[in-house]
Amino acid sequence: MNIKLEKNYRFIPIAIFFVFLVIIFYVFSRDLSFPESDYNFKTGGETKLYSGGQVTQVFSAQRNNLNQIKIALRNGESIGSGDEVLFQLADADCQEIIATNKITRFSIISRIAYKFNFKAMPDSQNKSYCLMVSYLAKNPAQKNVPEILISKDPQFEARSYTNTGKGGEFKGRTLVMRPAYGNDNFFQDLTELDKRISQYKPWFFKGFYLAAIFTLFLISSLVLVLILVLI
Amino acid sequence: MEAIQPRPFYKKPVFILSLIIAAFFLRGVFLAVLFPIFQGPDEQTHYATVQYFAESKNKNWPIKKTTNNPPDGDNIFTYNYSEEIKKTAAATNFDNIKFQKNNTPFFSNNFDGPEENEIKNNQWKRYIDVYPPNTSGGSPSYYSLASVIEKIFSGQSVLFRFFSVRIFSVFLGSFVIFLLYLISKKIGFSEKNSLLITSIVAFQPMFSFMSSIVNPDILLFFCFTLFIFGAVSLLKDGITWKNTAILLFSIILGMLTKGPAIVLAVVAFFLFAYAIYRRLKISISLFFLYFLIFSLIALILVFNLAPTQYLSGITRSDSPSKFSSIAVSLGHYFNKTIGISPFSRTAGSYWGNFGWLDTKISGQIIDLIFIIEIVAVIGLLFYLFKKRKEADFLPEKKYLFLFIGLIIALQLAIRFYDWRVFDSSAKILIGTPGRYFMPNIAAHFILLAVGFGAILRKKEYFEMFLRLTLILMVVLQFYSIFSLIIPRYYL
Repeated sequence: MNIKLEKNYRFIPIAIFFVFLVIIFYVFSRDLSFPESDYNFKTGGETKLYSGGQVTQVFSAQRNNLNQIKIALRNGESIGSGDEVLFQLADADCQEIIATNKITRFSIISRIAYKFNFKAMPDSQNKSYCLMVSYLAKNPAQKNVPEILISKDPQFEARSYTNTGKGGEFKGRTLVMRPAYGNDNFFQDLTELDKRISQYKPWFFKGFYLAAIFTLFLISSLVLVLILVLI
Repeated sequence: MEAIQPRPFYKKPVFILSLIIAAFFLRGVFLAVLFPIFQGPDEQTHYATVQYFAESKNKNWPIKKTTNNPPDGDNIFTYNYSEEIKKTAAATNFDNIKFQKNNTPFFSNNFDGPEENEIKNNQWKRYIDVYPPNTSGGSPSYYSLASVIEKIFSGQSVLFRFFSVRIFSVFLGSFVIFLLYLISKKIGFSEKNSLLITSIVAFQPMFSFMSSIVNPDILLFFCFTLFIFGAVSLLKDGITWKNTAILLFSIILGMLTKGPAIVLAVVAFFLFAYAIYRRLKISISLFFLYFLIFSLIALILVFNLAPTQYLSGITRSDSPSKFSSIAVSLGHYFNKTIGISPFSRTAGSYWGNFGWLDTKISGQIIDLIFIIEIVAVIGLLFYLFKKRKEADFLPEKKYLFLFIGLIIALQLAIRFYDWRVFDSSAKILIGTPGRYFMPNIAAHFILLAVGFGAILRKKEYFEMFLRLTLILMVVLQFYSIFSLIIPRYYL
């Protein structure tokens, strides 16, 4: 079979290209939220998500528009077929569920951390919330299970979490998790990202200049692809 | 008669090549901004070395000598760097971000970080006053060149100077891209395919990363690529003053940059032997006789003229072995380094393991690339060992043998040195991260392209393949930036 590659065929790779780009930018904008950054975690092990058990931690939000919790979930590949890890956000008493999300064996989890997204809570500042994570497995005796990293650093002395699968409350420890916040609109989110990247950079890499470098990089890359593929 | 229409500017190779280099440079600068200060592998040590080279020759400040205790990798203050580097690193949360992907810099609500004014207006010492300094030993060329930038901007803040050196690295990366285009053209790829191959490499994520940080590796990549350009010119045009000068310059600059450049000298020896053989038109047996005699003379000269310190440095002949025999040592070394897991780690860090090697591209993507490479290798073997040349749009085999020779030589050199260090410590201290093999990126990508060209056999299919590869590489680059690097440090 002799397939003649007419010029029109060249639009196929371009279409593939833009589909990929849309996916990348969709995931990026969906997860664009700004985690608290004023503390460090020195990881000190992990707590296992036993089947049927629940890991919970109450935390206080620093800002309004809480819309994400970034969680250091590990061993995600151990999630069995048909099993799921359930993430829930509840009120401070861990009673009233505010948001729910789940991941399965086939979920694509970021290599940095799992991002539990939910609808922004406009007046979250200084309010307490409860994060609850459960592993719902078909085989309750499963030993290789997902884990959440924990930190035992003295700065977290006032924090605690519970793991019902492991026997109760663990004081002076915290799950490695960061509440994250959005802004009123996407443009403000981009501005905050611009501010974060600009910090500890010389003046020519800050603010407007950074935005200009990014825009030029993006345009030059896209134009280059279009020219090389279509011509 | 119809008049020949001039090509529009956007179809002209000069314009497209300029666009490739501009896109590479802009992306390199953007990446240079994205990585927080000192968050490239050993970047604080490389910058400390740049600062050390920029120090005034007469060191008229008190120098305290200490015993040579190994510094604590988790505490920047245990390193003998300048006060400015240590305090800047501490102010930017360096020790807590390095290797720890759950931590980021501390952010404020404006364009300046919480400690930024202190860093910018610091009166900290910019010289090392505790010896021995924890700088990179050995080859000076990258540091010497970068120290010129450090001196020119000495009136500016450490942030200004540090990020200016990163831009210098981006410039070097841009030269590599330009040379790759020249190489592709020289070995016989069409104008369009040369541009496509060049742009594919320009978007390789790990190469872009290595071009955006303070690290001598990028100068080594430049030296290797320049050497390849000189070598293919020699294979094509024979021995000329220009080719010889390019080869010698790249070898000398390479050896003044980093140890692995020694392989360039070895490859050049064989290359010149081949070129002389072609010119003299003597019988093969006579040629081998001459070759043996000259090899012997060259070895005697090397062992007598090269500094003993240099030779013992690259062979670590002075270090006592921890094993009962070479065979035992090699056996243990192969057990630790040969296998799917070590190869997979090397492949992962060749394609993308960013920052302090704590931000990796997905393993599934690396597996997919591995499968693609296997297919290319099969095609390449098919092309090399088939007598009749079917694809006239692909380069001649002599160039491909050169590239394969270079790849094997660098593999052997890096693994030899890694083994020598293992032999004296019983530990894998150096390892084989993918970036160590990146000096051959031009050779590697051209071989992969030829492999697929041999399978596809038709020029138009090959061009379509290159277009698709370009698109996937750009997507991989965007994925690296928006799904890995930005979330790692800022979200």
